[in-house]
Parts: sequence; C-alpha cells; structure tokens
Amino acid sequence: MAEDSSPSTPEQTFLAHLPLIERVARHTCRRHHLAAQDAEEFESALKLKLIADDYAAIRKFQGRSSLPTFLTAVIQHYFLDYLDHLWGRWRPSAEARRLGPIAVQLERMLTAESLTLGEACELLRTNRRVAMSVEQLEDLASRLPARTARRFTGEEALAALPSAAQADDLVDLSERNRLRSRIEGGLAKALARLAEEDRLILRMNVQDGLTVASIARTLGLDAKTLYRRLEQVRRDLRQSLTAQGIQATDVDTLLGEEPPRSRAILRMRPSNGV
Amino acid sequence: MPRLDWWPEETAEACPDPETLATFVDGRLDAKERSRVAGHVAGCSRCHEVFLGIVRFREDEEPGTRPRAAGPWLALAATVAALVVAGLLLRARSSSLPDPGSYLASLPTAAATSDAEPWPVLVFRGPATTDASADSAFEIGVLLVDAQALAARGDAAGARPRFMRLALLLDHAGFVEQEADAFREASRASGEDVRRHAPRIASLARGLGERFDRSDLLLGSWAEAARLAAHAQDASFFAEPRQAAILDAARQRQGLGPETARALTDIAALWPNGRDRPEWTKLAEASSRLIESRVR
Repeated sequence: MAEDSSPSTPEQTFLAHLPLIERVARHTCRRHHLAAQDAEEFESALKLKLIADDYAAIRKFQGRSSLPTFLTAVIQHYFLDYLDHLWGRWRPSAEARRLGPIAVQLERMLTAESLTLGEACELLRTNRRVAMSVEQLEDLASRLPARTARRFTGEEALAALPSAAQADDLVDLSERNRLRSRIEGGLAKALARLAEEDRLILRMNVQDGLTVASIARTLGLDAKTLYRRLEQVRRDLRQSLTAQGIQATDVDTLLGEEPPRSRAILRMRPSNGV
Repeated sequence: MPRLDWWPEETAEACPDPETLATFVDGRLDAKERSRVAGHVAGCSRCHEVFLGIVRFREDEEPGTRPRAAGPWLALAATVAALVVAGLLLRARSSSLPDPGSYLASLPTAAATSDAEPWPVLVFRGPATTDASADSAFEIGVLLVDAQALAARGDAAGARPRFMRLALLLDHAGFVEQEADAFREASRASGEDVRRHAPRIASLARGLGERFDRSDLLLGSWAEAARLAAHAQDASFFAEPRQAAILDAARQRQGLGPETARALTDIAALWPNGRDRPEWTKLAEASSRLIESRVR
C-alpha cells in the first residue's frame, strides 16, 4: 500500500479506517433516506463483507488511488448491492429524495408496490407511525413526479385502465408518452455528441444539482472557465435538440405535469445575451 | 437549480473497478484514461451513483477545502501526505462551519440597533464581474450582512444601494434570477416597509450558496459581521466558537493573497476573547482591511 501512514496488515488497515468506514456508511444511508433499521442492517452487513475472506476487499487495493477514496468507492458499490436486495430495481425519483424520507416511502408504495393512495396513507400512519394527516400525505403525493405512465405504457395497458377513465384522457396520456419518448431519444442523441467530460459536467450540474464550484473542485478544473464552458455546453445541447425538431414548447407541454421545482435543460434561460 | 430526473443510459464499455473510479476522483489518471472513465461515469447510472456517492461524502466532510492532485503521477506521495495532514487539521473545524443561510439567520442584530454609525461610505471599486468569481461571492456575503442589518433597523436609504448592488452582481453571475429579482424588489421598499425584507435574506443566502463558492460567501458575511461587532464592542460575538472556527478555516486556506492573509493574521492577534481590554478600533480596522483586500 502506497500511503506512509497505512498499517501493514489488512486487519490493521480495516481497524485503522473503521471510523471512516462507519462515517461513509452512515452518510450514504442518510443521503438515500434509508429507514434507521435498514441503515443499521447495512452497516453490519458492510463490515462483514469487508472482513470476509480474510479482508479480500481491502487486499485488492493496489495503491493507485488514496485508500480513503478507495474505501469510499467500495462502500458505495456494496450499498448499491444492498439497495438491489432491499428495493429490487426500483429507485426513488430525485424529487422524492428532495422531499425527504416520507416522500421516498410514499413513492415506493405507490409505484413499486402498486398500492392505492388510501392504502399507502393508512400504512404510513398506522404501521410506520408517520405523524402527518391524510391531507398532508395526499399533498405530498401530488408533488411526486408521475412515473407510472412513462414510456413503458403500451396501448394494450391503456385499454386495460378502469372503465371510469375518459376516452380523451387516454388519448392525452398516449400522446404525452409519445412526446416523452421523442424528447428522451433526442436528448440521448444530443448528449452523445458532447465530449466525454462535458457530458459528465452537464450531468453533475443538471441531474445531480452540484454547484459549478463543487464540480470544479471534484474534477480539478478552474471554476471561472467552467462557468463559461457549461454555458457553451448548454447552448450546444439546445441547438442539437432544436435541429432534431424538439422545441422548448414541447418540453414545457410535457413538463406541465412535473412538480413545480423540476425543470429540464431547455427551460433554462441563456445568460450573457446568447 | 434546474434538475432532470432522467438520463440516457450508455454502457457500451465494461464498468471500471472501484479503485479505477477512486483513482479518477483523486485526479490520478492520465488524460486518455481520464476521458474514457469520465465518459463512462457520465453514461452508466450505477457507476455514476458510485462516483456521486464519493463526491457527496467528500464535499460534506470538507466543503470547499479539498484540493485535487494536479497531475496524474507527479509527486503523489507528497500530495497524499499533504492532503492527509490538511484533512486532519481542517476536519475538526470545517465540519462545524455553518452554511451562509444558517449563519445569516442567527447573526446578532446588535449593530442594527446600535446608535453608532459603522456603515462606511459605499465605494464599489469596479463594475460587477461577468461571472461568479470568488471575489464576487465574498462581496455578496458582505452585502448580505449589511442589507440584513440596515433593513432590520428600517433604514431604507442605507439598504437600497446594497440591494441594488446585490441584484447587479447576481444578474452578471447568471442562473440566480429569483434571488436577483428579490433584491430588486427590496431596493424599491421605502421607509419602515424595508423591515419585512430582513428575514428573507437568510433564505436567499441558502439559494446563493448553491451557485457561488460557499466558503467565500461565508467568509464575506463573517468579515462584515466581525467588523460591525467590533464597532459595537460586542464581546459575545467573538466568544462564539463558530466565529473562531470560521477564522481558523480561513487562515488555513491556500491562495488568498498577501493582504488578505495579513488581515486575517491581525484579526487573530486582536481576537478579544479572554482579553481584559480588547482593542476594538484596531479590530474593526483589521476587518475593514480584510474586506477591502477582496472587494475590488
């Protein structure tokens, strides 16, 4: 191991970095709004995994990176495995995570577990002892993005909707799905034209919500030039989408359903007169 | 800040192992490998989640203070050793640093009610910069404290040019239209009506902390708060551990400039806590010099 301060055996390395391991585990669980019980279970499972097979995970370290960063990366991998075990393929939306742990639980119940809103509210208030009224939970649910009717809805599924659904609602939903597919396809093509690092910078800013200063620190870039670079990337993306026939109004139509705080790239105003 | 809840998946290549991702985050890959991994991390949701987890942890542990290795293989041992030492020194302090919004929300308003007139004649030394530089963030921090205190005491005439300057700086920075509009609206308040804008400043500062360098925003607010507290001879301000923590963190920073560093050293030497007879005038002057060294 490359660092001067590293102990000599994997066991000593594990023990010396145990406080870091615990901090990373707790931080990660908090970020993902895991319930306390699940977070405790993950931390225990993590330690067992790191110890397993004579500290095999730690013995894999080659010294190319710093040990703390390596351990943090390993813990993130184990955490994603744990989420697969806990939630399957389902993941909370960015909006649910922003709204907090109750929103995450509510979203899971409504989407992954296919409960009705009434059932989800009852479960949260009685079994999970959530101290919110039904009205408050209904309001929270209304702020979650409409994920159930995304592009995966086929015509046959639409036909299977309850008979109370109005015909024009079905047509509207079908049209919205087609519009969404077109926009997502166009976005994929436009992103593919960007340089690799530009794609990453854009994702870190637009999807992850990281500030330009934070992105600059992470990637070792100058913040001042990064601001200009990001503006140029956004302009390039806008032009690329427009060239594919995707207009800002199309995105606005679709995003009219989204929670008020969600915005797409095309809705951002360009700066400096561009 | 705009958010997109979906990103196209692009996973033509095999995922890098954890140490390769860690090496990428540490800035130790060569240029070609760096581009390849950056492209993969941008398009693979799982690797992106691992990457983001590392970034979020590091940002939360040591906000704004973690330097990145400049080159892939040069002087790695020295760089890593310096990072470990700096991290150990800073962790106890920086983990307790408040965000600008919460700091402003809890500042004492002694200066707002004091009969002393500490407010300098405003001299904006130049036009607003065209981007959100560190000095802009510092100046914004200074102005937020002034504007909050003046608005709290109902001084619309004093608060107005500060609100207008804030709106101008934010207009130039871009992507903070809501905050710029809020300050423009505040600049139009007259008389006692300006008081209602004081409580909003802290919540606006939280939004600005997302756009600007938070450490410079916080330092600017702290510098002006210290200057006002020194004018008001408010010993309780300097007795708060977080005020000393902000000073300590600032003194540890790299690349602040000689005038700024000197002013911080002087403030530390004049720190009133525990002194029988604090030198308030000198302390206020040192705080003024700190501000002038950054607001250009």
